[in-house]
Amino acid sequence: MSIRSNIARFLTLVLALAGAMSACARGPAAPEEGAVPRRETYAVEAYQVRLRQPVEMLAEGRKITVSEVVELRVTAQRPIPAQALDPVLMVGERPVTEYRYEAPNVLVFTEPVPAKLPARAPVSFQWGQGPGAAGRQPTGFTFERSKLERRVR
Amino acid sequence: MPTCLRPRSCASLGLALLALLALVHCDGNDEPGNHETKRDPHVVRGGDELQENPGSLSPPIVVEPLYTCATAVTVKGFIPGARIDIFADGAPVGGGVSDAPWGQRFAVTALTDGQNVTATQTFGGVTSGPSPSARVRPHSADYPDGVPPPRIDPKPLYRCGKAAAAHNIVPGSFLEFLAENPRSGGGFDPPAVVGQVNGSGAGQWTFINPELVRDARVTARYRICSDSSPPSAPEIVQEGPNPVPAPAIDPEIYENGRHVIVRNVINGAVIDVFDGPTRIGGHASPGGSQIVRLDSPAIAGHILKATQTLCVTSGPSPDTPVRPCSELPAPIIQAPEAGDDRIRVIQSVLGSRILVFAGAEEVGDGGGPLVLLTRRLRVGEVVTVVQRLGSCQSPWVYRIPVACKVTEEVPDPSLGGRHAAGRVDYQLPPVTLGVDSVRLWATVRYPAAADGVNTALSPSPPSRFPLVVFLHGNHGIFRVDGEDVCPGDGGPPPGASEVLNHEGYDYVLDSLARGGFIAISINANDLNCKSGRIPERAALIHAHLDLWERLNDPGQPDPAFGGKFHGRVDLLRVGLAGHSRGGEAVVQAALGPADPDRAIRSVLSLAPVDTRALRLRDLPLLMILPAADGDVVDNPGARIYDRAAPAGAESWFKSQMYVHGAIHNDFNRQWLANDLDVRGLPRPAGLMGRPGHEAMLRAWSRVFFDLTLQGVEGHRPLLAGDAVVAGLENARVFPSYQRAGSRIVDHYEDAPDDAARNSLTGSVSRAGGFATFDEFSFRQTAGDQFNGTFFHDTDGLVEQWQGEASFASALPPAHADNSRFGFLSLRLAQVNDRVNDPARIMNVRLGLEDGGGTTAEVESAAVGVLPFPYPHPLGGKTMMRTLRIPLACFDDPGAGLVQPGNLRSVRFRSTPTAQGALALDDIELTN
Repeated sequence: MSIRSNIARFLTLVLALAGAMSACARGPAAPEEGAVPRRETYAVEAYQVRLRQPVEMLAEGRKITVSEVVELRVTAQRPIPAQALDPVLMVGERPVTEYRYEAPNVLVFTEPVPAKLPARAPVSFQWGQGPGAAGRQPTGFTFERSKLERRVR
Repeated sequence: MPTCLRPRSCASLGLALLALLALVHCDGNDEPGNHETKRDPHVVRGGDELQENPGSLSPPIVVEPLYTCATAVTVKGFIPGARIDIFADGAPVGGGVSDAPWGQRFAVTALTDGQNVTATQTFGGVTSGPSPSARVRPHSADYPDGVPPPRIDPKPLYRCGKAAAAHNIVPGSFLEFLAENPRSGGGFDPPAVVGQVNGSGAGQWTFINPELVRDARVTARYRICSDSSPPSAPEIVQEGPNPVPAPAIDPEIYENGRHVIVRNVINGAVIDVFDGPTRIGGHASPGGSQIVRLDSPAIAGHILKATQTLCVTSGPSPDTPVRPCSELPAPIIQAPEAGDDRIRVIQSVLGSRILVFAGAEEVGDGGGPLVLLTRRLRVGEVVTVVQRLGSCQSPWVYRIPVACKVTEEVPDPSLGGRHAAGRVDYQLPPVTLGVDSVRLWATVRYPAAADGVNTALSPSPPSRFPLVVFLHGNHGIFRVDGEDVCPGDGGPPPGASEVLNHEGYDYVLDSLARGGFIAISINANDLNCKSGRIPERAALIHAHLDLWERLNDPGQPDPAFGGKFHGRVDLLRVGLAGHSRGGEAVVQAALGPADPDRAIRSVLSLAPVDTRALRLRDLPLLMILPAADGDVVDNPGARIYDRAAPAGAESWFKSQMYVHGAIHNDFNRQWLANDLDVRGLPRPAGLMGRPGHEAMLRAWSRVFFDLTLQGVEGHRPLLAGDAVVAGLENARVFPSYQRAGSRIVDHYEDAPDDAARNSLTGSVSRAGGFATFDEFSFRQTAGDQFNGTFFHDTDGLVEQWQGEASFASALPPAHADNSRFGFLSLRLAQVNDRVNDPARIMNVRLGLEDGGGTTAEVESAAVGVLPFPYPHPLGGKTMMRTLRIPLACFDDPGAGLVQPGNLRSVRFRSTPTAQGALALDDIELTN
């Protein structure tokens, strides 16, 4: 069973990470003529934000009061669609799930517990978490806690 | 050069000059008569070899419902010319002779509550067995809010009209038409009865006497027991056409025929049918197409004509020659399946006698459209159906083997309804849900007297209509240059208009309203463009239900609609339907909070998210899953389906439709982008078009809520996968179904995993070349997966074989009696694994063994398709479907029928020459 489990984990990874062109081993059918997959690119900025007033936020399902957060500002070239699955920013393997639209093409993700973020890690964008998460897309931005610009809001 | 197979037909043309024409006549097919039959491979020459058995007379059929006080009973399915005797609790109450087997109304002594009514037919000195019993019940059981008004139809009524028809009548009633003739100085004379029928059908026509006069006001009404209907809407008599157009006689008239169909008849006109100069039949008609009985049998080669008279007489119809006996076609029947006790005749000549043979044995003798058999049909035996008109027998028969299972195609119920659809909208001040301020905004469709905005509610019963609530999912809320976006800190972009996300299901709401539902679709824009918000969406549903409690309460002020819905909403029959995030929110809303003044009865979830692992208990669930979903790519609704379970309710069931080629967005008319494109995924070939998506959601919504909120039990096979809705792209659909009260042989959830023992503690023995035969988690998140292609929330068995392999899952003696069940049911899927061939439909053998040692198998392909997983661009998901095999299929030609009352084991056998990997779950005996 352990071999099976390892295979399973591998296949899960394949499915979860498969992008548009890296489908399952049997391969997807060819796209219909004229259907050109659109690949979005994301620009990321990160800030250490000190809040003038403490606010309540959800952290891993629990409501906490915070006075300092990390914000990651994600800018796309086109409007970022609202879909069933929420956008999620992965800082290394840490998902940042709280977000708001600053503009149709700008999302501001907020990490309420900055200490949970890795000191240095690549940042990627994906839709949803868990089994449905798919198409994790590297942004090219590397999060470095020591180099965060500080802001007050 | 084509070969003429009908020398008699060719010879009948005679002259050498016509030889070429004769060849053309016979070209490619020698089947005369109806052109539709020409390509049917089941139509073959024969019949003479069959030995008739006079003792195999079919019992006729008593048409239900039968209501207390009814004074007529309709009987069908008998031999034309047979004597019909009707009995109530065994005592004769009426009858007569008829040659109208499609349904003849016979006067009877008024029926009383609880009587069991049967009928027999007698022909050639032989009497059939009794029909299945029909029980008399009070009409109030079906019309608790009083009987509805009849509806005069067709209309308009014309001057000189001598017939009229009405519909929407409680069968068995006493029906009257009344006319108020106009006074010269204005107003009307008192009403006078101009037509009446004792023992009316649900739709009924009658003669009108005296004939109608111009500008008279005509109404219909009826009474049954002490209940009188409201009068119909009045019809004012109009001037008819002048000149009167000629009618036409249907060409399907054959030697010995006793009926013709006359078409293009004007409402109220008198038809006359002539054979040369001799009038051979006719009477007044309510128009359209009218069956006219002839005074004597039609004679081959004679020319028939018809006229119609409405004040003045039309010219004659075109000539219609009576066709010779040799051209009498074969009847056509619906494909029979194992266990059938009746044959449905879908094409026959009017007034013909239908004889049915199973092999060489005669098993039925009656008339269309439904012929009961003297025994049930067995899988594999060949049915031959013969058509006769008097002494003339068609030289052609319809011959077809009995299949294990025939998936019946039924007309789409969502395309009609007995109400018009009215529309109102509301947008009320916001409520606070969590941290959000949310407008109470919805569009409403309701059963109405007429189509349009704010038209009156339907006057037809019931007085209270069930309520269906739709909720959309997360989507952009402002449209800019055709793209739906989320606003930023600065508010809506310049030039943006708000997306009416809730109006995307108008086409479904409209159908539901016509079917007798008040259907609303909620706008949740104020919860969109934000994370999650599932509990808030559920709370929004309850906020609207709170509002509808007030709209329904005559004691509450209603400035929005002026009391329009006061007392007309049945909040104890509420159904929820949600899409995407709305699809999870409806599950959440159904779980509470409880309110004694309303009851959520069923949940339809379309392409939902599954963020909270909710578990529905006891509520019927319909899950619709688009296999090519580009948004919720893992079809997490399958997990909601898997978790849904009964908790004591006998009426519980769940149904899932996994639709190949369907995507996320095309069910909502406001969601215009293809979700695969939005996600940047390539489109698989052969996606279903938007019309296909809409037809499915409309049809299944109506079917599901008809069944769960209005008790239309006849729709259940459509949700069980035993029947399909005509017009849908059904080959794409892979259904799952489970209902309460089943006997689960193995659900593979027992701990610890033990593939050698089933859930009834019976042993599972296997033989042959299994490379794998083990229990696994079918979840994404578990460790003990077979591979990563499963997206369920259940455990199951994976068996992987090379060559012949088999297993038997034993039923302990305490569970051997399964005579109350009609189906063996299993959930199965080809595993997304290299041993399976993506191009191949898997076919395995499923069997039953009884305590007497009789074993019979059914090939899975005979009851449903097991394809390779759908090629989603992110990988093929191993998604199970249910196969339901009628127990009547387990019939071995040599050993006989496996006895459900004494079952020993459920069996599986691979296709001997193949390898394969199969996922399996929920082996059960069920109905």
